[in-house]
Amino acid sequence: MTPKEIIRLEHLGLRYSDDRFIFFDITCSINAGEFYFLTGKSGAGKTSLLKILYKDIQPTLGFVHVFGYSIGELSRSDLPVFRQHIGLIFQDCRLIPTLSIVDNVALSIHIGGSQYRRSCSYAKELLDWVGLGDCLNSLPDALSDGQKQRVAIARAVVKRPALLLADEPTGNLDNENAFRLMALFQELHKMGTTVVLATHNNELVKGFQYPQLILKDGSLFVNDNGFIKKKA
Amino acid sequence: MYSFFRRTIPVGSVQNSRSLSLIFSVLIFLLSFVATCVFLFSQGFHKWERGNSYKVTVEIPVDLQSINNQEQITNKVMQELNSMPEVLKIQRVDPEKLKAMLTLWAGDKGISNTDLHVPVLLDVEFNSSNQIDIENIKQKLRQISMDINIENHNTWAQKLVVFGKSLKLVTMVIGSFILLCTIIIVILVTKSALQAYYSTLDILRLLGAKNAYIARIFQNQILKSSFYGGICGVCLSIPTVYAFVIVLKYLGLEGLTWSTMLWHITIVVIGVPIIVAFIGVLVSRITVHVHLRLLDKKTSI
Ligand SMILES: Nc1ncnc2c1ncn2[C@@H]1O[C@H](COP(=O)(O)OP(=O)(O)OP(=O)(O)O)[C@@H](O)[C@H]1O
Ligand SMILES: [Mg+2]
Repeated sequence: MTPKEIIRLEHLGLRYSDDRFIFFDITCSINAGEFYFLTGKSGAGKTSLLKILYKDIQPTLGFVHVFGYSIGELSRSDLPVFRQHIGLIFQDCRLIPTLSIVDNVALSIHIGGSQYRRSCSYAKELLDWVGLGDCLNSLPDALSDGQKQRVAIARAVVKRPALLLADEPTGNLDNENAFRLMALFQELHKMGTTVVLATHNNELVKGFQYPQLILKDGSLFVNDNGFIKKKA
Repeated sequence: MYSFFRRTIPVGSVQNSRSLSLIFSVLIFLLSFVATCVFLFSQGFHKWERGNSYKVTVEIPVDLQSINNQEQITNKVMQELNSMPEVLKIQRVDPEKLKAMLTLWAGDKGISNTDLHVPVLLDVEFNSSNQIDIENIKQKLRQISMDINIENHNTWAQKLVVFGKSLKLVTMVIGSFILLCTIIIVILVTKSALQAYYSTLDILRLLGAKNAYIARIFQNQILKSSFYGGICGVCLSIPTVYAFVIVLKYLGLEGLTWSTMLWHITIVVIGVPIIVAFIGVLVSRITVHVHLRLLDKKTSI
């Protein structure tokens, strides 16, 4: 793993309880500061790949290195600090239903050791930016799916992570809002964050000049300016 | 901060947030009462044990032949006792008092003050630092007169002390049982919240929350509940305990001066909620850590 590499996958394979491999023998690396779209048909394994990266599941085969750490060897006590450096946006948002949206966002930095009040003021600022300034104290259940997604994005972005793993962050948003939030990711990317963004939205992919990782038939390809080749 | 934690994972009854405080207040009230009992019993019986161990009553019976003879024997006995180094104080029980006591059951008319002969009673107090050999003293006094008798208070006092000690032990067992109940309640409340808010727990961990952070969510709420419970418990226990102390004082079972005792009991009553809060926080912390470790083992990540 070179110093520039932030993610390195070696002969990665994943199989759930059945015999079928979701993906097999993926070897590739992503450098610090890069921005990738992750695409593929539904069920291709995008979410599963991201889950392996933040160590929610273990791969069946191969090795994963993130931030220079071999994920398999990462102990349970090291895991929280490792995850504090990753911004996660889940496909199903996963907001805490008993917390207001401002607290949901503040929680993300409070966990990292920031004071509650300061966390709240950052959270408010960001929620204002994503257009949720007037429902700061609403509970997630009172929001539309699109609004929830914006909260989830704010929660991942507010801690300025070194790596952002976003799983369909704009899945429930109209294109106008999706493009507006892409600006947020771009801003974060300019500040040095590495971004991997799984999406189905082709317009979004085409609207930005970022390379595309494609999960297809259990392998990972890269589409860089129209050239599709196996990612290494 | 507390309310933030409470909203993240509410510990205790979800419908009624005060129920945990209520349980704490009852437990703290009971514990304060029991602790006061243990304290008072140990003080009171200690005094009895100390106070009665070193006292005897020497009885010189009525000598029907000669009243002077009884006086002579009494003088000799007092001389003999005075010569003993372990004897601290000798006090002759006032014959008028004895007669008055007899009047109670014999009636005024049954006793003519002039012709009634009563035994002479001597209250003898020994120096507590010496080992007292009652038998030896009895032997010596019986050389003066064979009829002299020694009433040793120690025998029945000892029984009372044994009774007191077992009472104290029983109270301590009850106290330990209440404390055990507190621990069990904290464990159950913590575990049920951990299970009911499983998905929140999962999100917290994905966001990078350390086990200590999650434990703090619980500790914080247990501390708050025990604080409110403690205030209610103290408010309940102070009048009860003080009333109890006044009753015991009236019965003569106190071992300390009034002010020292109130001071000691106030410390006990205030100390109990602090100890309960400390134990509650510690138990919830351990429960969360154990739960999370077991979860890790199950998911094997
Ligand atoms: N916990 C699981 N147990 C068994 N099979 C699973 C599990 N999670 C996912 N799968 C299977 O793995 C495959 C990949 O799922 P995954 O969610 O990674 O796909 P995806 O590319 O994210 O799809 P989508 O675009 O619909 O979100 C699917 O066939 C799915 O059924
Ligand atoms: Mg998915």
